[in-house]
Amino acid sequence: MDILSDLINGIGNAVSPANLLLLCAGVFLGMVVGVMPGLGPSAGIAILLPLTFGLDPTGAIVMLAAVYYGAMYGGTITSVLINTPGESATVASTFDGYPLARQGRAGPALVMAAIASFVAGTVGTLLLTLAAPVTAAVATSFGPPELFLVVMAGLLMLIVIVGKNRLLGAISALLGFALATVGIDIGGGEQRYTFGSAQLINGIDFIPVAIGLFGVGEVLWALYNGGHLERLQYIGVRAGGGRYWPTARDWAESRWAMVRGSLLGFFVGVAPGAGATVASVMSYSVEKSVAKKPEKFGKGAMPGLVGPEAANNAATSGAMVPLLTLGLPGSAATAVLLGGFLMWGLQPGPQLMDQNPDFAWGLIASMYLGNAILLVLNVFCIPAFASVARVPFRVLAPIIIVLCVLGTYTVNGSIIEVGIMLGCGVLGFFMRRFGFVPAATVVALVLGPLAEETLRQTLIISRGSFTIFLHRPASLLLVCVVALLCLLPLISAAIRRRRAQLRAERPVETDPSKTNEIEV
Amino acid sequence: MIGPVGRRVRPTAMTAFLCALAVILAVYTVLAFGMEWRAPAGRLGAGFFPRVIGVLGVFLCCVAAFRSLRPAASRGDLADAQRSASTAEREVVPGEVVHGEDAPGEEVPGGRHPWTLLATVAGMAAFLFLLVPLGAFLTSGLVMFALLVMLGRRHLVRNAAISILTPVILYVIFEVLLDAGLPLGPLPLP
Repeated sequence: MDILSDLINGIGNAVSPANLLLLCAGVFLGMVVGVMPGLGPSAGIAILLPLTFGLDPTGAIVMLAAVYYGAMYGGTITSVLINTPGESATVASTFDGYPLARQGRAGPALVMAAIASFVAGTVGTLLLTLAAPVTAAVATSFGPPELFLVVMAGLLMLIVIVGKNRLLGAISALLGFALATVGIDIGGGEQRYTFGSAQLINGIDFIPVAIGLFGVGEVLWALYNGGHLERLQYIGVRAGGGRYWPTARDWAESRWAMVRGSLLGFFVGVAPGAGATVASVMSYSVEKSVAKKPEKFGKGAMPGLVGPEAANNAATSGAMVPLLTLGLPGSAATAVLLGGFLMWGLQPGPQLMDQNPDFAWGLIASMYLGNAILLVLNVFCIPAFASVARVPFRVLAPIIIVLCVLGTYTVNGSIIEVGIMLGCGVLGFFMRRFGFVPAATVVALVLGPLAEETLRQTLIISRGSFTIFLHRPASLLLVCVVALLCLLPLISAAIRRRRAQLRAERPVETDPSKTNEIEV
Repeated sequence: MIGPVGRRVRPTAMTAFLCALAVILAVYTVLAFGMEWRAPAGRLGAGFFPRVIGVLGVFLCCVAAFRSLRPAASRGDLADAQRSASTAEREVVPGEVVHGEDAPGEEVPGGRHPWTLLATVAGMAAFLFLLVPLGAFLTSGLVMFALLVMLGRRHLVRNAAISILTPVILYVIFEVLLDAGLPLGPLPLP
C-alpha cells in the first residue's frame, strides 16, 4: 500500500502542467536524438543538460530521463528504415527490422516495435516501482565500507562486461578517477592538480567531460569515418493505409517475444555495465533459439525485431534501479543522468526515496506517462521523425559542435571548461579509435569523490585497518562479488579453453557418424 | 624493434597514444608523491588516492603499450578487445552498415578522413580562442560556415543560411529564454 500511495503522490507531482510540458519536450527531444545517427542517449542528455538550467529539479530530471528512454524508441526508426542504428542498443533491431522494411513492411515493423517498446517500458517501470523501495531498504543498512565496495563492484562490472576490453577499460576508469582528484581535497582542504588556477579549485565538472567525450568525440569519430560523405539509402514509410498496421499474425508471432524481452531486458538492465545493448543482443539470441522457424531470423522475422526492442526499453527502466537506490550508474547515459542529479543537489542512493520522495516517485510516475506519450508519438508521427534522419551529417556535425560549445559555456560561464570540453572531445575520439571505454571514464569521474570519501570514512572507522571489509557480513559479500568480478576473466578464459579443447576432440568422434549418415 | 616474444615488432598509433597517456599519468604520479599520503591525525592524506591511481595507471598503460607492440598475427586478443569495446557502448556512425553481432567492429566503407578531422579540430580551437573576444553569435556563425563549407562546398547559400539561423536560434534559447549569459562580443545584441 505504501508503494501505491507513494506512486499516486508521484503521479500527482508528475502531472503538473509544467512537468507534463517538460515530459513531452523530453520524449520529443529523445526521439530526435535517437533518430540522429551518431548521437545516442548519453550524448543527447549531456548536450541537452545545459538547457535544463533554470528549471526546478524534478522537472529537469523528468525531462532528461524522458530524453534517455525516448532515444531508445527513436533509434529503432533508423535501424528499420536505413539499416543504421541511432545508437548501439538498437543494433539488434537492424537484423530483422531492415529486411522487413525491404519487404515493404516498414510500417508494421515500426508499429510493432513501438508497441513492444511501450509494453516493455511499462513492464520495466512497474518492476522498477516494486524493486526500487526493496533495494533502497536493503541499501539503507550500507555503511561507508559497503558503499565503497558497491562503487568498486559497479565499475568492475562496467569494465568486465563491456566487451572483452578489460585492460583498456581499467585505464579508462583510472583516467576518470584521476580527473576526479583535481580540485580541493575534501578531507584535508589541500589543493590537488590545480596549478594555481582558481577555476580548477572546485574540480573538473563532469558536464564538459561528458559533453566532450560523448558529443564532440562522437562527431569527430563520425567525420573521421567519412560520415559527412554518406548518402543513406532511405526506405519511405507513410502513416495510415492498410499496409501500415501490423496483422493479427504479426501480433500472434510476437506477443511472447515481447514478454520475454521485457523481463530479460529489465533484469539485464539492473546489472551495472550490462545495459540495453547487451539486453537487446541477448534477447535476439533467445528469440532465435526458441523460434519454430529460426531460419527466418535475419530475413524479416517479426519476433527478431520485437524481442530486442522490448529488451532495450525494459533495460532503461532496469538501469534506474541501481541509479536511484545505490547512486550507481551502470552506463554512460545513466552516468550523465547521475551527474544531472548531483548538479541539482540530489544525491541518489538509499536515502533518496526517503528524503526526496516527491522527486523519486515523481520521476517513476513520469516514466509511465512518458511511455504512453511515446507510443502515441511513435505510432502516428513515425514519418515526421523519419524525416529527421534525412538531415545529412555534414549539416548536423557543425550544429552539434556549436551546441556543445555554447552549452558548456553556459554552465559556469567559463572558457576554461570549454577548453576542457574540446580537449575531452579529442580524447573521446582517440578513446573510440583505440577501443577505450569512455563510459567508464565518466562513471569514474562521477563516482570518484564518493569512492575516496567512503574509503576515507571506512579507514577512520577501522582506525586504518583494511580488515574491516571482511568483518561485516554485507561488505564480506561485496568483497566476494568484487573478487569474483576480478577472477571472471580467468574463469571465462578457462571455459573458452575447455570448449576449444572439446571442439578439437569432437570431429574425431563425430566423423564416423557423419560417414554413416552419408552412407545411409 | 624486438618485441615481447623475440620477434620483430613495430609501434602502432595505439602504442604512441598509450605512451602519451603513460607520460601524463607518470607526471600525475610524481605530483601525487609530493602530497602527504597520511594526514597528521592518522587519516588518509590528499596524496593517497592519486598515488594509487597514478601507479596503477602507469603500470596498466605500460602493459597495454607493450601488448600493442606485438606482431599482428598474435595481437588478436587486443584487437578483438578494441573492436568490442569501441562498439559495445558507442553510437553507430552514420552510414555504417551492420550485418550481425560482430558487424559494428567492421571497417567503415567510407574510409578514413584524417584531414577532415584535423580541420574540424582546428575549427574547434578557433572557436575556443574567438568565443570571448568576438562573442557567441559571431563566432558560432563564422565557425559553422567554415565547417559547413569544408564538409560540403556545393551549397553556399544554404550553408550561409544555416550559419545565420542556427546561432540566432541558439542565442534565443540560451540568452533570451534561459538567461544563460553568453559572451556578446562587439555586436550590439539585445
